[in-house]
Amino acid sequence: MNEENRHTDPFTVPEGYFSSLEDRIRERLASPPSRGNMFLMRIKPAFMLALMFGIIAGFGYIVSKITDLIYTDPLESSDPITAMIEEGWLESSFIYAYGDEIDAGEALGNSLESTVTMDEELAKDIEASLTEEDIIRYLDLK
Amino acid sequence: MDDREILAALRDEDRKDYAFNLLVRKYSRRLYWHIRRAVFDHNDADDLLQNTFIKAWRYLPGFREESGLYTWLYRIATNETINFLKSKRLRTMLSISGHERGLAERIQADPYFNGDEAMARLYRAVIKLPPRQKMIFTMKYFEDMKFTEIAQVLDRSVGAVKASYHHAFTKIQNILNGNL
Repeated sequence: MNEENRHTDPFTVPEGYFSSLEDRIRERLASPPSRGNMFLMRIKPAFMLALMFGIIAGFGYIVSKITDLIYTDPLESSDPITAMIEEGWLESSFIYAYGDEIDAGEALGNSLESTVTMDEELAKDIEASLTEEDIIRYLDLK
Repeated sequence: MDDREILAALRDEDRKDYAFNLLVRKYSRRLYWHIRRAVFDHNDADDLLQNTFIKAWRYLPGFREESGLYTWLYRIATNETINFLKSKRLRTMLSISGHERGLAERIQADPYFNGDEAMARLYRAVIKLPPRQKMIFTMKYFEDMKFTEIAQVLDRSVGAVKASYHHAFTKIQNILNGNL
């Protein structure tokens, strides 16, 4: 660190500035911190804590808003069938099996039904409990 | 009295006031100019210089003499100045518009500025640098310090200091050429 700088300083100082400097520093060292400063020093940690909490809460709010913007419930979208296909809830071939007028809830129900399998024992019990009349009625309905 | 003797006297209850006066007398000018070149305003420089010595007085018991006394004081002054410049920036809405523009306009009207137009132009460009780049530029350009010394004062790698100086230098060139 060189004592003299290689360029001429364009600045000057008030007359007698350096000779009175020691006394002014001494004065500051001798005087206690002002009440305002002490109050600020006391509340600073609490203020910083509140500020940090505010920042974290704000950040969380922003993230939740962004997440909401990214994710939309397929059933609430303007084109629920396409949205459900995109989400992987439905096979893409599903759309060809139905006409244009599709109820989203019904579509999902049908899709789920086709994947439900019944316990073999339960199926036998139900079959055994059915009378011939019940079966004929069921087939007539179909 | 050399630095080692001043330090010994500062740790002696009977002689510490006298030693502190010696310390202020010995280093106040060099530290003042170091601060002044970065903040430009005399009152700000005076305040920061006093803070530097007050901190030195308070933290002296913890000074482990890993560096020289002047290097330690220089580091305190540099950190004080960087923090001051950062807080000024924050207070002026996180932009360089307020404080720096005001300083740039005042620079030649300042009764304690007697540089010519070229010097005023250079300082007006330096004002626009971010706090750390400004310190690195003034240490290198005005004080002719080595990159290793600047790195030691700022506790940064030499590479980082060189990169900052390069950015600062390019920015100043662009400002002086009217490109910024």
